[in-house]
Amino acid sequence: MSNHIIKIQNISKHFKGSDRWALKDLSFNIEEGEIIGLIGENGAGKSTTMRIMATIMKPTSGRMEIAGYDVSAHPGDVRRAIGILFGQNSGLYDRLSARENILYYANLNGLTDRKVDKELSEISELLEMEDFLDTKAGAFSTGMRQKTLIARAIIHNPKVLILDEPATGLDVTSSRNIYQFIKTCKEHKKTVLFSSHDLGAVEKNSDRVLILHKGDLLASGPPAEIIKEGSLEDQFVIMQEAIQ
Amino acid sequence: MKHSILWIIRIVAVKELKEFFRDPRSVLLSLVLPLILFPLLFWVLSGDEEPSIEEAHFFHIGLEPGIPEDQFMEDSQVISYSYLEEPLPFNWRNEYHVILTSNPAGDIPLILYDNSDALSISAFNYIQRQYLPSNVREGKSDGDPIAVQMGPDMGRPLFSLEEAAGKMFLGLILPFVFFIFSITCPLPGAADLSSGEKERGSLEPLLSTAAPRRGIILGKLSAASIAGICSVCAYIIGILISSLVTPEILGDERMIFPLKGTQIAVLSFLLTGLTILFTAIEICAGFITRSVREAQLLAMPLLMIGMGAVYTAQNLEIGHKSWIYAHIPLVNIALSIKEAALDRMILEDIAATFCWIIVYIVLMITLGNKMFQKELSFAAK
Repeated sequence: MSNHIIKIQNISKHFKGSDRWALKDLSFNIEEGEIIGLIGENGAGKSTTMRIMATIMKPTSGRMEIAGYDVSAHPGDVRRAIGILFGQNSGLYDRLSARENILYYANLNGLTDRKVDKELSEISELLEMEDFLDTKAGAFSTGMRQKTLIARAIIHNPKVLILDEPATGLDVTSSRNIYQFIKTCKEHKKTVLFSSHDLGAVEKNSDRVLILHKGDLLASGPPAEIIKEGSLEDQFVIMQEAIQ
Repeated sequence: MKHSILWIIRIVAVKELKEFFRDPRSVLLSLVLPLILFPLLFWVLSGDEEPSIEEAHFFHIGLEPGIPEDQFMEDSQVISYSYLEEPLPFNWRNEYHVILTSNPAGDIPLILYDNSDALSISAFNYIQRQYLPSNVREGKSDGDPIAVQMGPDMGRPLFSLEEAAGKMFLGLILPFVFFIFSITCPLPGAADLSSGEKERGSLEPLLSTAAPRRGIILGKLSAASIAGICSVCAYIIGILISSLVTPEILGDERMIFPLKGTQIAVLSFLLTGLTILFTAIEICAGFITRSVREAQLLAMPLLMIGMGAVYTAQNLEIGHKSWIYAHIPLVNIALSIKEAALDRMILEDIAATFCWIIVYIVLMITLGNKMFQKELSFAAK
């Protein structure tokens, strides 16, 4: 029996004033505990898909379910089940410390400071952020910001983690830390959907890859099945050229 | 785990206030600057200006029973009069410009008038001149109402000169000051909490949390209102300090401001309500604008609208205006401030204004909530 934690059925999205569809009849399922790499050129529909998952946008048509809840009918329950990172510029509050930023989101998700204490120390250890936990975010490097954003996204222990370009702009060590963390999520049976333009990292860290092109699902499967020759990057370029 | 909306409001408000008070620029602009701005301004701009008294077009006169209507009243195109049912009705100032009462010392009646009201002074001046013999009339004041008021005449002013000047000053200045403060003081905070969230990219993550959006809006409104009210208080303290340091800036340093407890309470409620209302408007508008800078530009149109409302209210006669003005947005608030400042409160007006303020705030919160439901991420691009 399939254990789909994310079900996407014929989702389409059209923005007012635009002459094209951002998503066209998109369908795919994700099983619990899977790590999915979402790739595609700019404007392929990766961010739109993630925003619909985050209940920030409504689809024009189609149906999407996360953790058993319909995103349009039960957005509150969906939000409780997900943790989301919208790229590295998804605002930390500069005048709050990393700890205060994280606790604020924990509180908004219904957790008290006391309840979240243990999780916070575990996460800060996992992401190696103990040294700057009480430093104000205004003084953070890109890596520190990204770690704080991730900690903020997972503090309420969500079942599904949606990460939009989690390692963009990070140095090699920080980037490796982030992907190491994504792998750790699998051990905790969390489902992770992440997008990236670093196809090497996607190839290495995903159970399955979804390739989007102009709002369509171009290909889906484990990296080994998708790659016919060379690397995922080579394969992606071949596919792009074939379409054009 | 679900928490009550009050929990979310508290969480959001505490976090926003923490951020506000940790930002030296916000504290400087909102709290420190007001404390020094007015003392400085008053010190620089010290000078006298005499209040002008406008000519009235129509006077309503109350006659005590027994006072005969004079010939000039019947002929006059500028007077209407009626006999009083009781000697001195409560709040008569809202119904009549002057009251003619019997004079135990002579035949000519006494004129009871409100010397904090320009129209009442004009009415007194007009009637006195009609009653006085022409030789006295010509030699006396030559049309100067202040001189008439000071002379040994028929007039019985309601207040001492200092008190009347203070009331006039408050009635004129408070509506303007309240509107200016309540528009400008919460703006930095409101802009930061709405378009600021969008600008730094924190709005989408915030909307992706399990917190109900109504709770987030109310939390933000609470924080911006508290910061705005603190800033308004700082301005008022600044003005009080200024008036103590350089009293001559008020035009007449002998002016006194005998505000009653009820006046202070009503004025405080009106100022608080007005500040919360403009905070709510500014937060809602902040969700439409693309940047904090753009949101701050809202101050100008809001000030123009606010000043229009105050100007309209200033041109209304408190006791003889149409009931409709108590229901015109912002004009009703300006009018209530004027009534409270002059201690001429009309219960129906004040009650209607309070109800409308609540309605406006609820409407703004509903609108803000709607904005949250919209696809903000796309709008922000």
